[in-house]
Amino acid sequence: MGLPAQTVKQALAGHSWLGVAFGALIYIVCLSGTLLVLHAELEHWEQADAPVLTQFDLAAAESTFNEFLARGDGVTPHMYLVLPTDETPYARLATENASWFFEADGTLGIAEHNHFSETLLDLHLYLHLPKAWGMLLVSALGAVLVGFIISGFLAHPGILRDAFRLRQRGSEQLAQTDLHNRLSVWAAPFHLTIAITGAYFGLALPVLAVVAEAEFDGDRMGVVSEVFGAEPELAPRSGPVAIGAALARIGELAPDATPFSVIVHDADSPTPLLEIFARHPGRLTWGEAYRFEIDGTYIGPVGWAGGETGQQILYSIYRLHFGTFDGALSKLVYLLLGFALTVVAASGGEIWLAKRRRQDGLDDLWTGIVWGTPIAIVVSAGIGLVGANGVLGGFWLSLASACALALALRDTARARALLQRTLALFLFALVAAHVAVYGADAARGHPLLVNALACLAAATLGALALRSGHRPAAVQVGQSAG
Amino acid sequence: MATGLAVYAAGAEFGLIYACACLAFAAWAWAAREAQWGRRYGRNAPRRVERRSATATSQVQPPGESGDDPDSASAPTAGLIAVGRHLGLFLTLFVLAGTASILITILATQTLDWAFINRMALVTLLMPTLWGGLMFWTLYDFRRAWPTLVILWLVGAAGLFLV
Repeated sequence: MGLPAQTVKQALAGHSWLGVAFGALIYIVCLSGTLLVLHAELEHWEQADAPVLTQFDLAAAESTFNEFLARGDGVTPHMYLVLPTDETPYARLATENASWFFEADGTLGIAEHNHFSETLLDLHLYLHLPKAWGMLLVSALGAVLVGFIISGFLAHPGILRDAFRLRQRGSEQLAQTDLHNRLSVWAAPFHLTIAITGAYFGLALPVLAVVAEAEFDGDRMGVVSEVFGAEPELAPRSGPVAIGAALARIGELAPDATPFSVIVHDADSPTPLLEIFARHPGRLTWGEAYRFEIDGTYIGPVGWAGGETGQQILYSIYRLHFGTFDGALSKLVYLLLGFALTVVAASGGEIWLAKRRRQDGLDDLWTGIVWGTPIAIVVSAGIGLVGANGVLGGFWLSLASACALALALRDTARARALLQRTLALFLFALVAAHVAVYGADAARGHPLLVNALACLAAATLGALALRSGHRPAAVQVGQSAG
Repeated sequence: MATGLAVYAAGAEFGLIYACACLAFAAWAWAAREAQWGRRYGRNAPRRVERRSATATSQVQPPGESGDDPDSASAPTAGLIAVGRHLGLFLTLFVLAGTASILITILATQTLDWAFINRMALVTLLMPTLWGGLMFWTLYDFRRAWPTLVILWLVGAAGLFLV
């Protein structure tokens, strides 16, 4: 039993329209999102000199934190003490504007310098547009992805017959189509999850605005209180923040929980609030927020881990989207599935271009975008190793250069091979530069993992480029395609 | 069975995710085992027969509209009309369908006797799904004006009910 031909035709046309309109943006968001599964690792990689703490002197760090607050200089309404965990084995003191690592003895060391990973995160969340508009656009791409999934299924009449069909010899177009269909169909539950959770981040604000008008007489803060938990009424308090006492209390309340972040809200006011976030094993939720007065008097949990089901769902979306919920295993799974989605986006463009039965600047541009984006990411990572300036500009300049090169060559096969080789070369150069900058720090922990993955990717790409370089030359213009 | 095993091993929340992943990995492994590997050809051959300079509007027609009109390329206003059609479709898919999905899901969940936060969670999950569905319908339906009008009506009706 198959779908009517007209249904398939229309679904395919709709699938193509979405692809042509948003293919490049979807590809960039998918690629950056896949890499961001390793956000913590990349952050550590680009600041490999951050002091890794096997032993953390919490009492000394608490003193340093309180001294910083008492000094008043640089204190912002929200003040943070980020605790070391397995994922981020260093501790930081942070204001809303700056952040410093703790040394093992609890004193402050070097400032955080995570320009590249922040730029990559901004690319994924906002496409480097102004934040409000960028997040709205990227979230709308989540809905586009849902549209892709629905139209993709309806455009695929032989979905059961072809469930395991993977023709990787003969026609390149058939090979691309089979790869696109097999990767997308079997990972559809994951892709749908990523699409829906991705849409949440930017669409929360418009939803909040409508709900506030409809149910709260325009009181947006009322909605925020319902969703994020109302702020408790506090009596004015002064004195040091009793972080150690509060952490000890969490140890009694939830022995399995792992505290990972301490926040003092309204730190510059007479009524500050101490909030400690802790992860609960086996749970998707980002964490539970335990609230205290600054003298360590326990107020209660917000309910992200044990409150209403809806609250737990909303606070599970971040880790469900980025795959950081179960250490290395969930990251590996998300890396593979995310990479598959990226390949689906790239091959979708290739298939549409191939179906036109002619070649023009769009083919070249697509090749430039597909292979230029990873090159641009590598270039921005390299620039990030030496400073903050130019990371963002380096990304877009590199991407534009790759597109310009592909357009100038007017030969997609040559451009692809050249860009693949460039990417492999740049990846090796990036690892070499990282070792030159950080020395022995580049060869342990997360930095070693990232460097090893970069070398593996470079070697794979090099082999791919050499293989494609040996292919028969393309048929010349005007020659029969046969 | 795989889902049951994954849930047993990793708990309900992680287990369901791992079960979905296992399904994909197992199917890909089976497809790779059954795959026909070998030399490929024609990567560029058919596409290099003709090389033109491209304009975006000449490449894809909005679904349901024929791009076969021989006069369309030569008509001086054809390009503008095509751009207008694409722009109209874009506005329908994003502004109208997006607004409609927000309003409809909020209105629909108001009928449930649930706690506010639970309704909001449902809105979060349903809204992008409905938006994607409306996008697909708009692109799929031959009668381009029909989905646009229905979505416009839905926006107006849901907006009136809510505010």
